[in-house]
Amino acid sequence: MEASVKILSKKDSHKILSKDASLTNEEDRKRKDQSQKRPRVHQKIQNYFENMIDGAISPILRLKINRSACNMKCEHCCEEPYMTRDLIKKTGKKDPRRQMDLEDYRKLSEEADELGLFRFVITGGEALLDRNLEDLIKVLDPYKHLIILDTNGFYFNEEKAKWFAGLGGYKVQISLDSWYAEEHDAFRNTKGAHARALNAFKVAKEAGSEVLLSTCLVRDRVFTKEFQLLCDFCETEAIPLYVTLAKPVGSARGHEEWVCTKEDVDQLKFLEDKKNIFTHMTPNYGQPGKCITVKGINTVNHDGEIVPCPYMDLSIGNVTKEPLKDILDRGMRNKWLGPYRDECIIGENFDFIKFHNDTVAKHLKETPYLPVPYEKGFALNGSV
Amino acid sequence: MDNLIEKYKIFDNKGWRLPNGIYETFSDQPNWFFKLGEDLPEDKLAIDRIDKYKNINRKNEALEALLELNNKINNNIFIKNINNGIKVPFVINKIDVDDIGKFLEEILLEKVSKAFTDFFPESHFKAVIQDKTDLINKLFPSLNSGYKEFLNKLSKSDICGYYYPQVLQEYSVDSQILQMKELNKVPNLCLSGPLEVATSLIGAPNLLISKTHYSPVLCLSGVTHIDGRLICCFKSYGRHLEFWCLSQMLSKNKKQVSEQWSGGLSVFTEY
Repeated sequence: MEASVKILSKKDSHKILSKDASLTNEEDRKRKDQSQKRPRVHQKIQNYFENMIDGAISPILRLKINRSACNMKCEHCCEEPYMTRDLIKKTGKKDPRRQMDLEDYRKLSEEADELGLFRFVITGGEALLDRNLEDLIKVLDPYKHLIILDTNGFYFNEEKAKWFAGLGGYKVQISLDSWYAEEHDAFRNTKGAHARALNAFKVAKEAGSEVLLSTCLVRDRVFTKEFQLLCDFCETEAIPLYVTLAKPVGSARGHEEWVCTKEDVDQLKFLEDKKNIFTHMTPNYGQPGKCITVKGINTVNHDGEIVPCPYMDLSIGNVTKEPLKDILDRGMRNKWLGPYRDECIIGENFDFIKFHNDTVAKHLKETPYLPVPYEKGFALNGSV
Repeated sequence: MDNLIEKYKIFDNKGWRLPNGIYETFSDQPNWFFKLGEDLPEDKLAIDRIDKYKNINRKNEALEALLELNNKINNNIFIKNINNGIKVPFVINKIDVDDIGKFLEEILLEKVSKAFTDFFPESHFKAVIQDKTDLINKLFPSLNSGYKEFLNKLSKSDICGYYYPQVLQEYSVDSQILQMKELNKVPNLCLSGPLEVATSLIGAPNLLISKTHYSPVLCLSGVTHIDGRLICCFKSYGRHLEFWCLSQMLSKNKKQVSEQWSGGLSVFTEY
């Protein structure tokens, strides 16, 4: 079954290019690669294409593990309120809620597989700090799912690179906040972070993993020389550049001056034609660019709460208490989350940002533990 | 009389079609996050641009006919509020279109692409069809939409008119079509479809492009795809323009009701 998409472009505005023309050459290469290395993943991707017109979704599941423990303390971190170090500061103890264990993750992997989902991102904090990471990767099953490791690269040395690739890990996603070492290190409050991150790209590639550079964009950065240099590095090293938009949540709550304008976002979309650069809203897999809440990515918190975007603190249900399918269906029916819209709601829509932050602030007066449960957050703003 | 007008009010003061609790809409009252209307060209400039790409017959007569049409709308107490919304002129030479999809794919999209990229040389125009084949023999006038009558009149005469792109913003595509049951007795009014929307975009290539605001997705619901899950639309992507034939399914059994999707109405006259 081939991708059911035909594309007409500027060069050949009314000529059929190919059924698969919505895929970039790189996407096409990776897809062919999967048919040999991971036939089950390939099959799920094909099924997704087949069912896309029925409204089928196949979001990434992003697993926050190990109570989000982290070796860095970044200025823009949206994860800080979930971390034990922050909770101990506020309450004197760690999160008392039941944490997901390997059996929960095994069950989640099976449920995801049944639903045709094929991607897990493992993140923290810093995922490599988790001593059970190897067991986790094994129970997720790297041959049924693409396993993507999200890391700041500080501990991702040659040995770790070989270990991850050897386990069947698919991709290493390394964060770099500035091309300038001093800026990156200062932002991360960690000397040497930049140099270690650059080395992480090198060793990951040498070990045969796919790599991706993840960077957080604050207002106006897209127009700077520094961003241009980062793009140049990615081009020279053939590393896809994944850009996230700074959100006024977590440590950045109250920093509305960091929020990107439409002009920033339009410039990114403009650069997509010229560089190997993309955001979570870039058109892919034959879908137009749009906000990907529920549809494109969902975060699984340590306690099983599913959050429909990495940068939100509002849940749509708990996967240890009800089936993943029911939670995703509920999310798709939510007025903010399901229906089509172009903009990143948590990064650009101030009505949503206000609803989100007001709801979180109210919740935090009652309890220090995030995310806000469904009943107290998204359930209040209606369904379609 | 005022009570009667109020009772049968069709459009609100912003030119939005009132759903009156009958039709499926994203909200009861849009907050207009998705906007149009920055630096839109005057009618004459838009018509000149259409002429450049489509060689209009009797251009001056078209402009006079548009002026007259505008006056008629303003004098019709039931529909005059539609003029409070954004509108874009179009002029189409007499033509018999027997296959809307073929005409769109092989003729119109190329002209939209040329007009757009001439206006924005650094941007792209892209068209994507989420289907295995093409649009040929796939698009037909929607039931009761008035589009069949529009095409019928176009086959006999040159036509000009106004496209109102945000009249049905936030309506589900099914409700965009359904609400025409109440309007199909209004002569020379139809649910907007590919021919006049594409022509309007040729005249106003910046319609969907804004530095500050996201624009609505312009649904071409005057026509229906033979696969009821698919709809056709124009949308912006940053500074780029795109045509999509895409799924309207939110899930297997539920269709989109999106704040961003917008059906349009077209009011036209033969000249």
